[in-house]
Amino acid sequence: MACFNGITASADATNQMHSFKQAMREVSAKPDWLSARHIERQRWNPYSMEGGSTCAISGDNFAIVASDTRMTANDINILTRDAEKIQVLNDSIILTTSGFYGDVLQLTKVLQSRLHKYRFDYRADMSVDLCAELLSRNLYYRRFFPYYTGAILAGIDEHGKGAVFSYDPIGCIERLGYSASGAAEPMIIPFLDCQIGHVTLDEGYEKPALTMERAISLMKDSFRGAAEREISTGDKIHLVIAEAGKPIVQKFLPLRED
Amino acid sequence: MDSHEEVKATLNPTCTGTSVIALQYKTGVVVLTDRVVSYGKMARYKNVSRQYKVNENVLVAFGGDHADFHWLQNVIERQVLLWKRFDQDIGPKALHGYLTSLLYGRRCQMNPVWNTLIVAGIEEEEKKNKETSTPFIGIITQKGCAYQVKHVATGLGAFLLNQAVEDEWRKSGGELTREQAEQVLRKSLELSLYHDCVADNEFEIGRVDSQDGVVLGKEEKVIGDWSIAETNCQYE
Amino acid sequence: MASTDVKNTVSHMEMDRGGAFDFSNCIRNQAMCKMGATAPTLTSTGTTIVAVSYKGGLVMGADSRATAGNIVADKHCEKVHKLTESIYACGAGTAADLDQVTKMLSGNLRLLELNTGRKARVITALRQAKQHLFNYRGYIGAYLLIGGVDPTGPHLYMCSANGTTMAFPFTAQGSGSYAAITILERDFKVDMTKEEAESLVQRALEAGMHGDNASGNSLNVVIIEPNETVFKGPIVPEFCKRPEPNDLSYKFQPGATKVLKNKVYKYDIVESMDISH
Repeated sequence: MACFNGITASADATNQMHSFKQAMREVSAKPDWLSARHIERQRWNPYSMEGGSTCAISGDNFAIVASDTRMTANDINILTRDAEKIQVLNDSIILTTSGFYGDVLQLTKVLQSRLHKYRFDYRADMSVDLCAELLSRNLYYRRFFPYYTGAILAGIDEHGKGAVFSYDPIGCIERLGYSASGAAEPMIIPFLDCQIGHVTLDEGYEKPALTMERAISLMKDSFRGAAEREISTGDKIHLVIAEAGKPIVQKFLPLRED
Repeated sequence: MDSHEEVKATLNPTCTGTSVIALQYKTGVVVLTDRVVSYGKMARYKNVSRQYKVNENVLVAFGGDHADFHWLQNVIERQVLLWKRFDQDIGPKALHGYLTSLLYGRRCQMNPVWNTLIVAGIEEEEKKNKETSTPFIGIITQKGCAYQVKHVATGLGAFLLNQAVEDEWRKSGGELTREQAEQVLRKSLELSLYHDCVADNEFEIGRVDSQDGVVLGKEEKVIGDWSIAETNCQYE
Repeated sequence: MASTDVKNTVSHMEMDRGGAFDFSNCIRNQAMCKMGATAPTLTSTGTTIVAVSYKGGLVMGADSRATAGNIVADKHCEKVHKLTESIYACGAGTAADLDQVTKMLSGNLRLLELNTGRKARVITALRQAKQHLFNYRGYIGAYLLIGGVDPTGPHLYMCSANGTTMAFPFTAQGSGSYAAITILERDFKVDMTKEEAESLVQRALEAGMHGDNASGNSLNVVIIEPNETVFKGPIVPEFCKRPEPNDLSYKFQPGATKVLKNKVYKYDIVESMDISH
């Protein structure tokens, strides 16, 4: 058995060496610094990225959604400081999306019209679980020309509990306690993992309960932190709070503008 | 994707216009565009407007390809007539939404409309009620990315002028008079002239006002200050 | 057979350029990228740098944000580099290149001053920079504003990575230069006073820092006059301050972090040293 492993290992190494040599030949014949100037024709790219980040946290009887309001072109140029990335779809569903803003608008429009039709057909508002499935299917419908968005759907489910559903661009769905998407996702997620997931906390230490106040504070702080270190996040926090049995509250809080 | 496919879509615009600058004032919107058509970097045609009056409440200005906009003009006109059939006048918000869908739809077909559109106008809550009507500026980029603003510069102006215009806007607390707003636009064009090689010094300022409706501007000229050239000495 | 081939090739290649940069790994690195490895990203100072000349002097300034992709790598990056007592350089581009080029320039200029016993001229700094950068065909990503005051008066030059240089009465560089140059064009006047020039530089920098994602945090200004050079900074504009402090404080109790793995190393003391003083 050990001998067999040895053979595959050496075969792998030979293959690797072979493909490396092949790559060396190709690159030597046509190095980057020559081709970059000569390859002029570039395919038109239907996507662009408008930056910004969004985040959602759910609790026992609440869901909180926040995003910044900056919109950026070419990573650096600020287009507007009041772009909205959060849509309140009905009294219990909130959609927040970041990524390519054209797709964000389209996705919102599609969901809104589907919810509207649902209201006509069933004389009731859609629940967040249903809408979550609907969104997943809508995203997957464009499997081979995806909506370039990181969507998060949040709200209060039929049992009065907070819900957060997180998606990838082509509709992979996951119900989580908290989620973030957009440019500052890699900064916000570890922060929430530590503060809400308590993944680094040893047994026997007190885990503070996730009250709504704490969740709101964590949300604000995660955006304040992101605005410090992520360049396309800033200007304002758009905070949307859904609590079971209460109307949805929206707030705007200042962030640094540089 | 190295194949040489036949080109059926506008992937290289030919005759183009550059920046559009628009700004809200107390009771309306002013929009500035220059009047040159560029063919690459050549100033190919002069005295061509880049503003289109849709109806008494809506004005559309554009940057990008002229031919694509001529086509769009036709589409808009048909949409206006469609609304007329129901005895309605299309408002800026509705037109902005319509054009957003149109441009987004075309980008999804990988056949973009090569324009950045600025829909300026007065949004009427109730028909002919000046009290409840509000100024409106909406932007749509070539890829269907749409947003609403109080002040904007597109094209190279987005880099050069956005911040300067925003600062002027904030200084006034968002309450510019029409004269002030036009002054800001004129200065902005002069500034874009210094750094945008396809901008022209002949321009027009259109406006949409809650009192007068759409008023297309007359041709104006700005010379600018070139005295700095005399101090420029490339001695080494 | 194969080995002799290799020998032949190597003997014809002259990789060693006598203490200069070593390019021998370029091809290998590209081959590795082609096989799926990702190259490390360089810290690039998406920057706003601004300089304005006035009657008898020069004001230069820079923001202090260094970015790596979309992450702020350094909030207090020093982009105003001192070359001599009265010549300064502001840099945009690759941070490491800027540090090395300005270090080289300041060293050479100091040597020159010691050898000649006079103050170095701005044009000397410029020529050295451009010849160095031209030699490397733009691969040293340093975009410089070189300015200062010498016996022939105040001078301001721009030097781009490929060696192009130009003289200016005022100019800006970096990703925030578009927003900044608009302010300069609007408010620049010939023969301004020191105060006017200083405030103009500050306003131009603020426009760049405000309108450009890759610039911000704080600004540094240096005012160069024939007899004295004043450095001011860091100045933090209002919009660069945090509008609200954090809600919560994040203190962890000692020992609260989960221990995932324990491993004990045994060692013998071979030699010890007293480090108590």
